[in-house]
Amino acid sequence: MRVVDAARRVVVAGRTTSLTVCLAMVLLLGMMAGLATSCTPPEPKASNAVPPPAVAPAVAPIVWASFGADEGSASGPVESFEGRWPQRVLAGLPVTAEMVNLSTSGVSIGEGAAEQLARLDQAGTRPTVATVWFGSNEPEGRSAAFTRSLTSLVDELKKRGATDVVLIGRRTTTGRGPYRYADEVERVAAATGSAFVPVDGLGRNPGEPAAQQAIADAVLAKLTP
Amino acid sequence: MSWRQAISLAGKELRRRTGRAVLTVLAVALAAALLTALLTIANTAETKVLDELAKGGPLSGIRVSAAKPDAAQVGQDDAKGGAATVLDQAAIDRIRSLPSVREVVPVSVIRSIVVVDLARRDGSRLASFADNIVGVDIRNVPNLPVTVLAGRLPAPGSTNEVTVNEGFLERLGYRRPDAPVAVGSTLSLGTTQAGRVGDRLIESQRWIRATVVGVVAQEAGEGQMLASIELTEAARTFASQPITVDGRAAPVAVRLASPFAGAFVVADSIENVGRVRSEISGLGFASSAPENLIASVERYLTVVGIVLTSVGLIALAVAAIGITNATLSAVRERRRDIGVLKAIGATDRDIRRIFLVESGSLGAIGGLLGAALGYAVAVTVGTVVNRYLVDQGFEAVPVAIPVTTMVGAVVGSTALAVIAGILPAARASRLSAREAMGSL
Repeated sequence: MRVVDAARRVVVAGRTTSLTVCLAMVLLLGMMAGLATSCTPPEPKASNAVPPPAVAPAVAPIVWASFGADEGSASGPVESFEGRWPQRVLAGLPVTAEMVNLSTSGVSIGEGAAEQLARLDQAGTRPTVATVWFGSNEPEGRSAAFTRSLTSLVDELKKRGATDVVLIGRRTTTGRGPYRYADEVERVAAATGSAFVPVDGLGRNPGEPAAQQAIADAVLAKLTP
Repeated sequence: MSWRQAISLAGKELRRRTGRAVLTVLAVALAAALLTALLTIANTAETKVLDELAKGGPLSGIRVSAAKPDAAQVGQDDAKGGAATVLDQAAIDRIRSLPSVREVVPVSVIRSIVVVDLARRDGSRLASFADNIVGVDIRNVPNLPVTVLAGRLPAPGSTNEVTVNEGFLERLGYRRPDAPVAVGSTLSLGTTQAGRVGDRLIESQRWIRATVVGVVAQEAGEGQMLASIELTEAARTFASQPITVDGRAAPVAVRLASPFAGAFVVADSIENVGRVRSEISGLGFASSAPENLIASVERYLTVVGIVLTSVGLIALAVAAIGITNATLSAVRERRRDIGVLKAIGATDRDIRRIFLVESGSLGAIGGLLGAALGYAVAVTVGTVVNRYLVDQGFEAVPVAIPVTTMVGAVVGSTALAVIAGILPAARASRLSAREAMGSL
């Protein structure tokens, strides 16, 4: 301790401004660091973090099977699907809804119903709702056969679990040819407890966006009470 | 004399000669700052460059496709596959069992018709189009070259959530900075089951809706949408069933016959990527990986790191010479003090300790200030660079706090200062009391 005491006496002067200068330097560096850090852009909110697993919806999702001919056909150029009535209807259903479109161009109900049912079964789809729109390729004078086929199709759909079946009919003729048996469609709907959607007054070009939206609105009104 | 007493004495002496102490500390601080800033910038740049090369995935990632290897391209970074082949679960298991394979993530891809509800940038509507949805087990995304740019990833197992990529945004006239616009929009996704029976083309379509939950840069598979593998598998199951009419089934396309479109394989190290790729080729599958490019870039970056470290070390060496010079001056000026200390019983070791503590303190304070200043400089440079990158539509590069570099700068500066103080301390300790007092 003697050494230290002596040293303390030796070291006496010169402790005036030194501490201030050191503190000022540290403060300056700290300010620079703080300024630079505050200039850093905020971290992006996007993150590769894996979110928690999806939970099953509380209500069973809608599975919609669409049967029919040209009006709802599942074929065509890729760029033609935007704006079609089935896509518009799907857009109006809850986001969990699923649609299986089995409609085929150029078929009558006699040709298409059984085949489309077979494809529905093959896909393993159990529909909760269904729409049926035949009438554009039906031969003349076969109203009884049309009625039988449509009734049978509705029965089969109900057997497969479809609680709501919507039958669509149209009386307006177009440039392509006549639509037939709309009255029969309405009668079958009444007889089977199905909903009937008449799509008349759409002008000569039902492919126009306004007409497709009108069809979609009418169908959607029956599918979503 | 204890260490505590030596530190106290050295501190008093430093405060007594403030100007010299401040200048010496400043020299050390600037050298340490240079070293810290250079290494931080170099490490950030290396991370960014390698991340860009690996597309956000692991560096040792290998893309395997459901295609046979092309003998002429085996080993090339961007090798293209040959004829389509079946990549099923058994093949995935065989790849997984290869030595040096750490992870195998199957990738499912399905072609889909896409109807977008989001308007284009100019307000017009986009016609429906066809593109691929890439399905992966979302829980495995950390092992995949996928980077979220906005929003989030789809929930694992979700069949109604997707992310889209920049190509998708470009269809709508948007750029990367506009990515948040797409988040929350919905898509209708249609999968076609088609077959030709005789002269009849029969088609069914399965349509679902999905919410866009994020925008990603993804290289896991070829497609503008990324979803959970559950979503793509449900669509693939539908599309891959053969259309049967009157008992006649249409053939299924080969691409649909393969359960997986590809897989992402992670080797246990970058050095083993070549070997794993060779073994995957032996199993009959084409693969690609940027291994050669990554190896070359890593070599260049190592050289750059060595050069930058050398620059910083030279600056530190100059600072150390400054410390030696300052301490030698202090010894000359304090001969009388040394004489008094020795006369009242201080040993050579006590004198040596006082001067070593003094020079070590200069190094430690300089190192601390320099590390902080260096990080600030690196962040400032990073800010300027990030502004440029964001203006150019690229992702900003966050500058991480280089803990190891900063600790190394402080410890290194202190050690160097102590070494620089050895000669003056030894000279001071060798002075006898009479010799020291005689200089009065």
